[in-house]
Amino acid sequence: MKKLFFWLRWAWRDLRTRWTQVAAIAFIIALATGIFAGLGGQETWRIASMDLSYESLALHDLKISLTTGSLLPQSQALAVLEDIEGLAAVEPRLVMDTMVDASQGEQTILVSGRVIGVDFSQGGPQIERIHIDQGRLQHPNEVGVVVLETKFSRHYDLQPGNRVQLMGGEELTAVGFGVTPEYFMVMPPEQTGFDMLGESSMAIVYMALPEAQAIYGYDNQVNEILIQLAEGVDHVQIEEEIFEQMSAAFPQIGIFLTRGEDNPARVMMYEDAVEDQEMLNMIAVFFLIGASLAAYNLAGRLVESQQRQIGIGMALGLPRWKLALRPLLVGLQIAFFGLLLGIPLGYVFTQLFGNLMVEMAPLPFYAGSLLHPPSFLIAAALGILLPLLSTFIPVIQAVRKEPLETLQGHLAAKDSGLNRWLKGARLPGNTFSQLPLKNILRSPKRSLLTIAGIAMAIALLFMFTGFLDSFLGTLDQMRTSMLYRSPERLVIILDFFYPVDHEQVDDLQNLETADGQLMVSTMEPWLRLGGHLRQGEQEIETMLEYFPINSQIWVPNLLRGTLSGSGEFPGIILSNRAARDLGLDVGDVLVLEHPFQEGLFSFRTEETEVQLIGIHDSPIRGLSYLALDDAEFTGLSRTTNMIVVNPAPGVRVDDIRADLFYQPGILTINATSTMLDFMDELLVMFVGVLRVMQIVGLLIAFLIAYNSTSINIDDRKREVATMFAYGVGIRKVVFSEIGENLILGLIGTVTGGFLGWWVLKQMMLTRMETMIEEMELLINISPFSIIAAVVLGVVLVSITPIINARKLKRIDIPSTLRVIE
Amino acid sequence: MIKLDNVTKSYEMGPVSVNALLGVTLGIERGEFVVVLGPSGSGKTTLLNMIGGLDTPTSGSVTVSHRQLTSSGSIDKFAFRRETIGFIFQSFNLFPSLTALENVRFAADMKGISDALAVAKQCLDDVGLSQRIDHFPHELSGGEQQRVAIARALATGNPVLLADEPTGELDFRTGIQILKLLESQIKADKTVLVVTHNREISRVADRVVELSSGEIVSDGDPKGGRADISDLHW
Ligand SMILES: Nc1ncnc2c1ncn2[C@@H]1O[C@H](COP(=O)(O)OP(=O)(O)O)[C@@H](O)[C@H]1O
Ligand SMILES: [Mg+2]
Repeated sequence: MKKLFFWLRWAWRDLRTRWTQVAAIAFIIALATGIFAGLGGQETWRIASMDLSYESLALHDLKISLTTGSLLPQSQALAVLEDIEGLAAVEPRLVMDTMVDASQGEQTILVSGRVIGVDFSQGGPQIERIHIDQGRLQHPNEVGVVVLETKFSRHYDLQPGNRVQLMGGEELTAVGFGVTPEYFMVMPPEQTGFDMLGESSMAIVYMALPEAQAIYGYDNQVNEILIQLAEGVDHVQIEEEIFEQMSAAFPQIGIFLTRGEDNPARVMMYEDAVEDQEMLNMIAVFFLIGASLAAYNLAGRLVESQQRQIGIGMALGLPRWKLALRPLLVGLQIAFFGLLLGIPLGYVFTQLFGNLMVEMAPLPFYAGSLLHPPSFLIAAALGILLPLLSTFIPVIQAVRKEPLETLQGHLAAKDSGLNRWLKGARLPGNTFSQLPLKNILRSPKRSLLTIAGIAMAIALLFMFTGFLDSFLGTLDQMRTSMLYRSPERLVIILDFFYPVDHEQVDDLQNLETADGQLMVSTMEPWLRLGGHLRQGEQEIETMLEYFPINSQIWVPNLLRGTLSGSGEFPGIILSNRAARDLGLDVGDVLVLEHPFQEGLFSFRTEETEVQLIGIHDSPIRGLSYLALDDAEFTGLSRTTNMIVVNPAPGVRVDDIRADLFYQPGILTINATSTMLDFMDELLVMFVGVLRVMQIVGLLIAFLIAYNSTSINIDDRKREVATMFAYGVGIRKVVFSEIGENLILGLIGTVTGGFLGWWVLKQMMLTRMETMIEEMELLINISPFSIIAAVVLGVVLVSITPIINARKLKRIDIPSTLRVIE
Repeated sequence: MIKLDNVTKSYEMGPVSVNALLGVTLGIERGEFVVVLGPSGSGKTTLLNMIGGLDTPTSGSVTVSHRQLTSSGSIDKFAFRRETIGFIFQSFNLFPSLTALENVRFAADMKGISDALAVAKQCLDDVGLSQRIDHFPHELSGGEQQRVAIARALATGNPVLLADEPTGELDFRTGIQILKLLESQIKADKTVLVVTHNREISRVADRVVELSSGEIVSDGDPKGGRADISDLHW
């Protein structure tokens, strides 16, 4: 015990002389173990919490929905389902998209919304139960009260008791705020590709089913039925049975059956948890590698400086393990400090991340805590093992040498390293300006390790920069594609299909401002229908807009092909990504599955062959276009459900919005500018996170360079003192060190840049493509980012000698030059 | 050329103070070849470092080449060393990543000599090493390394050469050669100071300054008479 204490103290003395290097390495280890310890369990925690939340609030097993605009008679539909065995619960709902005015006082809140009529009878709902976060749930027979979705309410700081108004004038009181499993994450009603932005732009309004039916005049009608299956039933078989029975009972109506587990928000949340974990682990591993390289470097140096002592020890016959003990203890001490800092750092990460998750994707229930003991243990083990291992290698190498070998080479000149390569080569400049290169070649192993460390950090930096740039680039393309004509335009979505000459449509043309000025300068009735694109086995969901070929306002901007087809088939225009995913090229024929209007409120799904005639420039996969003249196959030609409008000069979007709100039949009013606002909101969030990662990457590059410089100075103390004796000034020596770091920094940065670019590309191509299906990500690192990364990487690495100049100043020339015998 | 006036250097070691030099007064003329003799710990290195501007006296004054080097003096010691001194060390202290030629050229480059390469080659030729100019220090013997070190000091063109135990690491024969080489530099009007703890070696000089416990105990002809280098036994 006493002996160990002695060794520890001795090792401690070794450490103290190099405390800045030790601190730098320990800090990198702390970052890595901190991330690992603090966030290693986030996947487990999130998934357990989601499982619990979905389970507690009874996410539906199956959902029956209808083609847009269709309705089912409630009691008949329930009667059909009653005859099917294996259903544990059945829940009819009326779901209506609408506009909601939640304005309070000065604050105008006019947003898209969705009314969900829920069956509160008999203690319902059984499925998709509402979890109340604030206020209360309405009583079964209460009229005129609703529950609003929590995230929306929080976003606008609403309070229970606040009044909201539905389009058409219905005034309601929000008695509480709550959430149902379907809307743990709110996605906007339209396919915008910005799925996370739903909460502020989408108001979910829960009300009693009879009241909803009364408001819309759909007595005893529903358009959605949720189903919970009994334990142990064969899902596939029962799905088939439900589909057949319903289709047989209501042959005029397109019936869709979807699974709760395929709910897009749910799928996304689970995938996010897994992918975030992979990303975090990868970052932690990068840090650990960097820290290990640094620890290896330092240990190598320590061993070198103790080489003579080790040699003497050997000559005295001390066992090798005893000689190895002291430098190994230093590794242990580094690990100890790394952990000492890493564990609390992990705790801080846990808190920060937990808060972030609760803020951004709140769940009604959380399972256990984010603190995950196994991850803490693994992090602790890695944090100890890696620096120990890194110390182990040089130590073993040193004690395996013959005693004589170790004792020699003290006064004799050291090896020139790889400088023999330069023998006879005529280098430009004088001996002084060649010194940086020669110093690098002299200890190639250390130089390589330094380069590797810098490269690792820069690769990390590049990856994040690339993410950011690709993301920004994609958004930019989206912006360009939207703005290339009529940036002021508004898209008004109607609640149903109206004949193009319907008075309500005409009325839009005549909207006037308070002082009698026309609000709309141009107006065009379009058509918009959801559907599926199919080619062989591949199928993609699409939002298809039917546009007037001679539109004065906007037509898609084409990358290839033409706007109008040859005439044999209706001509469709797809996004690049959709065409690629379907394996199509311009001229190919594919199948479009689309609604076909049979009766006023009944639609069925039909398939029509269409020809790909053009590729538009939006990165959003699901956007497709087709000329209105070709729309006959939908049975909806001469009708409209989407009106594209150019406002008169000087008219604000909000003015039109406010004016239209009390007009019946209008679902949403979207301005291109609103979309752009969404993008900016999203950007701020993303950019923030990625900037932090970039800074961490730079910090690590800096620490690694600092360490290496500092070790180099220790290593070359005698040479530096000789230069000083010959009158070479400190500044010149610092310059030489800067030159050396400049070379290392450049090589490291360039290597890291390529490595980062490669990893980015792999990740984007393999992972992102499947992760973000709805968009075409344009993999991209902007020249500015490259220059910035290179400059920052190289500059930071290069200036470390300036910080180390103190060390040079402190060199005591006489005692460094003195021969100690 | 070199003047020390009542120079004392003391180190405070807790309550006791160690005098490395005590009241040393010494004058050396330009073109002189002087050996500083004394046992280990007598203050030889300290004396040399004073003259070379690497160390400052606790009291007294040091003047080299009309420049006052005392602690109060505000001259740039770096510039002084660059322009006045050529150091030769016991452990050679060559730059391991530079070849012999480059090591020598380094000194010429540092002085801003325009024809540095030719000067370096000439200096290596002067020390008899023109055959080995492209070797790295670790590829040279001790004597050869010390010759490179001397060539490096010569390449500065500086008037004062300070050599601290230049033969300490070398065998007898090689040591003699190095001493001869140093002595021959007075022909080029250099002032040469060589430190040694070997009395026999000191006999090659016209003048021997003997130190003991930081004080000069004798200054003048070598004891036992001046000897020709070939007569030495050590
Ligand atoms: N930095 C120092 N701190 C304390 N004592 C020192 C220091 N440098 C030299 N000394 C002491 O000064 C005396 C003279 O040293 P030095 O000039 O190196 O002797 P020499 O070169 O003759 O062997 C010695 O006693 C030595 O211990
Ligand atoms: Mg000495």
